[in-house]
Amino acid sequence: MTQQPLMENETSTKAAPGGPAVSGSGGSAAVVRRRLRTLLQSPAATIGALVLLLCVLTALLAPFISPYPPGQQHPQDRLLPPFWLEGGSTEFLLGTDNLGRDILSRIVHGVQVTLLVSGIAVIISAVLGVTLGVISGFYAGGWFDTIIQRLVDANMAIPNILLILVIIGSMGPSTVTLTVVLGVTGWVIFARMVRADVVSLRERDFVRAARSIGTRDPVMMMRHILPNVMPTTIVVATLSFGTNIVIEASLSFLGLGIQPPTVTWGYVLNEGRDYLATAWWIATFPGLAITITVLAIMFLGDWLRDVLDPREKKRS
Amino acid sequence: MTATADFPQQRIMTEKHPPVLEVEKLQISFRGDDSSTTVVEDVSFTVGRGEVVGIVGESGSGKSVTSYGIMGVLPPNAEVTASKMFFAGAHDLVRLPSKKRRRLQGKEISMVFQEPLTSLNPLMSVGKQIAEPLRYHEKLSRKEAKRRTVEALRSVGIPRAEQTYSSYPHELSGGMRQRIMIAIALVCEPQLLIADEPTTALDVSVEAQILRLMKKLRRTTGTSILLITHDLGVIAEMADRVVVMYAGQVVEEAEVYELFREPRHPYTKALMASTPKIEEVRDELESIPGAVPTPSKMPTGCRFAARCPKAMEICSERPPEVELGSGAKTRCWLYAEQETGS
Amino acid sequence: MTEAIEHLHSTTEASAQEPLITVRHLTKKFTLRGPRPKASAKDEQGKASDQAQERQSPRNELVAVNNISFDVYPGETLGLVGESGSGKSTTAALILRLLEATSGEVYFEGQNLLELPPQEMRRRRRDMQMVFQDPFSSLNPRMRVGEIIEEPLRTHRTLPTRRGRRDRVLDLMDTVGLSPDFVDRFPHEFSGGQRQRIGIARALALNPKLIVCDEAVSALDVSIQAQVLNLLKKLQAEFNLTYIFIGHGLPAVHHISDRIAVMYLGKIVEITTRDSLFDDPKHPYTKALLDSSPVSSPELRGSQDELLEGEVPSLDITPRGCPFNTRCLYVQDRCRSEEPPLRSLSDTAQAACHFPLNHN
Repeated sequence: MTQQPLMENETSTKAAPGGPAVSGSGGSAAVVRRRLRTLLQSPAATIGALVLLLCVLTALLAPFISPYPPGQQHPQDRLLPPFWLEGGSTEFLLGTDNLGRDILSRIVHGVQVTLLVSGIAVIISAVLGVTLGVISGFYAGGWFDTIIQRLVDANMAIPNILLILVIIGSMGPSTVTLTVVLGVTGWVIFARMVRADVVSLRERDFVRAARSIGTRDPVMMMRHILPNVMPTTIVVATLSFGTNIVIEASLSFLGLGIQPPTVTWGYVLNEGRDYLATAWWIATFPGLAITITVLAIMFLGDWLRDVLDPREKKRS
Repeated sequence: MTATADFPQQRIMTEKHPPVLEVEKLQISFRGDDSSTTVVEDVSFTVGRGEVVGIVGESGSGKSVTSYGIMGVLPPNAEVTASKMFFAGAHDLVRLPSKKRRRLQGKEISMVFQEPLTSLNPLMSVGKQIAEPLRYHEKLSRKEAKRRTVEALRSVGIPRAEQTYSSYPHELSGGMRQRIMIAIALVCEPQLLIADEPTTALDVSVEAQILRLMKKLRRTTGTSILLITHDLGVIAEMADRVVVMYAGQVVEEAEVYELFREPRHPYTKALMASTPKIEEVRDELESIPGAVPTPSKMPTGCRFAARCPKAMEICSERPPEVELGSGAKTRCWLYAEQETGS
Repeated sequence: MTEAIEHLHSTTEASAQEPLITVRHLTKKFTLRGPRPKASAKDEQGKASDQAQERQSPRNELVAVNNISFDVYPGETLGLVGESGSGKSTTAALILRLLEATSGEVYFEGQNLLELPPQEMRRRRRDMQMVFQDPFSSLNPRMRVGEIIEEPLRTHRTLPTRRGRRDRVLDLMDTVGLSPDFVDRFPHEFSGGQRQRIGIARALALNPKLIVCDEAVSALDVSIQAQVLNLLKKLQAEFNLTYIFIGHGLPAVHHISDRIAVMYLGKIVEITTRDSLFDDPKHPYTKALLDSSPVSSPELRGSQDELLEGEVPSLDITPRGCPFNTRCLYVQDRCRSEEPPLRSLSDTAQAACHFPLNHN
């Protein structure tokens, strides 16, 4: 061995400062601690994570922390404003709706279904879309790709909401139906974005290298393609999560969403629409909850995408 | 058309006129999130009138950043300082207001880049792209600009110049595109042409044509050329004088024949020894162990010391810039005693 | 063409050794309808060369590799040089069956690879590996160095235990001059030269007989290029490897090759030993290529009189007769009508030219 490893110093400079990458297998506790540290370095991601943590805790503890059951009516306290306004009461922190139900309690109880429906739908869409997108892109130009592309085109021609309406309309609204329908109709954007990635990845030398080694196609897709489409998938998933919340709200608005007595944010928001002029708080607070949650998910998604990319590690 | 014949004449010209470009103690750093990285430090050289000065170095040597600094095309987070950076003895390129700088760019100083396809606007016919500097700088009429453009296309060896005028970049081959780039750069007859790896992306036979073209244009227009390259072959072919850069510094400067006959700095020697040559058969190439230090971890002493076969204790101190007479310089302790001082 | 084959066979016998690889009449055509096949894109940058000026009616197919035949002997390095559009990278891809050939045969130790069913081909791949040009795109950015080098071992299940594979990986890293401490790093943490070493280690993992180096040092700095060239030579001696070394830089190809084939527009125009090629080129294109290469010292300036005019024509408007007739300095009428076959001009040299240089 005439030459010693080159650039030993350069490599260690890159690896040393942030702490990470000193050794890949440092025990899972160390990994968690390291991840947590990078999380705290990003204020947006930290806020996002806190908000989501709050959402999850709220969802789990809803029966215990909610001031009232969500459907409980207080006929003498109808349309009360939030407590800091004239006429508000600290008994109903965010005010009440037209039936005297506590807005805060309804938001607290709505978290659970809203997050579950949107979240599970995103997972269904992602699994479907990424699988189809990877296969379609890997065999771009083949018969499978052609079929998928036609389906994508067809889907682009019909607004998703219309499709969902038709399906729900014919099957009847329920929480499970809604989740599945949202999930099944949401694959298209995943498939499209992922396919575009795969088509360019496929031409990269490391994929050719794997082929020259004799790697089988399924292994190649799992080992070489899939990890490299994760950034795209995460970005699409965060967007899609937000879209799902909004679609769920829109469906509730049309009366085809989740049926009472189950409460969702979209449903509460929808109930407030008749009172926008007189009792704006009914629609505003669930709306705010949706906005904040979607933003939090996006912040977290950005961070996650960076963290999962080994090339980004040196930056933190 | 051997360059040997051109050479003495060039020298005389250099002595008569002020140099086209004088750079002294150029430093370029990039501001990062919380720190700034210095990628070019203490770089000094001059380009005489009609002279071809080659800057040679490997990646990380700072040769391209140096040329961008002179051309004024660095990203906004770059800081350029120099005790002197004069163009044609008159314009201070460090302190020039951007409006005046724009008047120089493309007119008096122009640049040719490595990748002609990405440097050309894909939606504009090449003729229009050549005519643009003429219209902007020389305020020529449309008709006059077109005439000069066709002339320029001919001078860079493009057949059927009138037809090519209305071609788009994608319709041309790599060599043709690079000719177009050179036509754009030279159409206003600049005093200085900065060519950054102008032939690296081209085929061997096309590279030879482009180099020949640049030699011809230098002879006919008297344009000085600052040639940035990693290829000692291109230097051997083109340059009058050579500046060797390593890790952001100039380690050696010499007249081209002298440099190839007697390289002084250990890095220059190693670079030459590691280049395979078709004239000789060797079992093993000399190779330089290790790699260029990164800007964030520059050693305080000589930057080549860690890879240098002749490193001494004193090399951990800042190496001196040794003048060796006849314009040759080297940044190495080995020559510290030979300093002529003259 | 039969003439050429006879000559090829005679050289085979002359060297008394069975070739490791025998390529016969290998041809690859791309149909131009629809999206242009990507695999050859790298090799066709010059394709648009004259289209703007002379839009001849282009055929709707493009012959990237046109009926080529050659042998590679065990333990030797065959250099493959040519400019864009010469088909050198496509040839490599065809031999390794990364692309399917249109016609022709590729014998590896007497077995025609192009007829092997996929399963067997996959098994055969362990004997032939590739080192790629771009050390940045040839390594999966999301895999650790250890995993990258281990992959061939896992794919071919040569070593059953994790432990065994790990040891082999560390061993390979040592062989190519990488510190085993780096095994859990990601590719982005390495310099270009180090990454190329990782790629070489991956190629070595299965103890192949043949390694195809596709522009393996073209993207590297001179001093790093020297390191990698030295490493390749050292490994060849150590493991009795056979190389097909593809390059466009003549000095590097000259340094590493025993024999060199010069390609132009999908054809081999000359194939001979390194010294005979550089000292006594027979084909005018070879001569022109040598003359175009930058000099190695300013003293040699102007020594190259014969610069090529023009550029490589587009593959879909390949000229009739000799493919080089549009740029050849010695072109005669016969060159425009009749295509010269590759024929033997001496013990070692074969060229495809009606009027070879320095040849009675």
